[in-house]
Amino acid sequence: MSDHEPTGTGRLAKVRRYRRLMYACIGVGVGGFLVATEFDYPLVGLVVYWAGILAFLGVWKGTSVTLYDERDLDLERRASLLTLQIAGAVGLLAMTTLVVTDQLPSVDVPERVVGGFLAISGLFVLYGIVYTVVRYRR
Amino acid sequence: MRNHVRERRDEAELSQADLAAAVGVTRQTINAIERDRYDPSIELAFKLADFFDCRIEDIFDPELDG
Repeated sequence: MSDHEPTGTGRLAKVRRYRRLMYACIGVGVGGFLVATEFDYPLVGLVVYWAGILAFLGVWKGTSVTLYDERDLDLERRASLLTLQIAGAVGLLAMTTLVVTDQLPSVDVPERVVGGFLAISGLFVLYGIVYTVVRYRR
Repeated sequence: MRNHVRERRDEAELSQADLAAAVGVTRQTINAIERDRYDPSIELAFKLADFFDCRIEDIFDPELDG
């Protein structure tokens, strides 16, 4: 390690600072969007939102400090898989329930609920497409 | 997978943050490895072995059966 590089503790403080800055960018972006939309300035809200997102990406990609590493990616993979499994279980239960309730004239399933189930199905279709692409690219 | 990262780091009198900075990961990752809660990639295992100037097998024990 060269002399001008920060020590482990200094680097750690830098990581914390950058991470806080990134979350602040997202917070300002989302908060600004909500406030501006509330006060009938949707275009301003959109600009603030995207400024926040771009600032987040700028901090993330612009620093040489390791903010996220292989363990973060591993955690993301595990969380994504778990999310998909939960969505799968809910989707399977929902689909069978929908088929049964569709046969019962006395039960009327709200369109929002049907839409939610269709969204879960769409998620699986998207997963299948992405999986296929990733598989053939590796 | 069991490992001796903690022992090696203590011998070198380094903090987790120092070691993390040396091998290019976060302190949390070093902490997770030392607590056997995360198995590093081959690349990171090589970096750690290189940093401690030893072989990967000297740090990581796969606990193979038989």
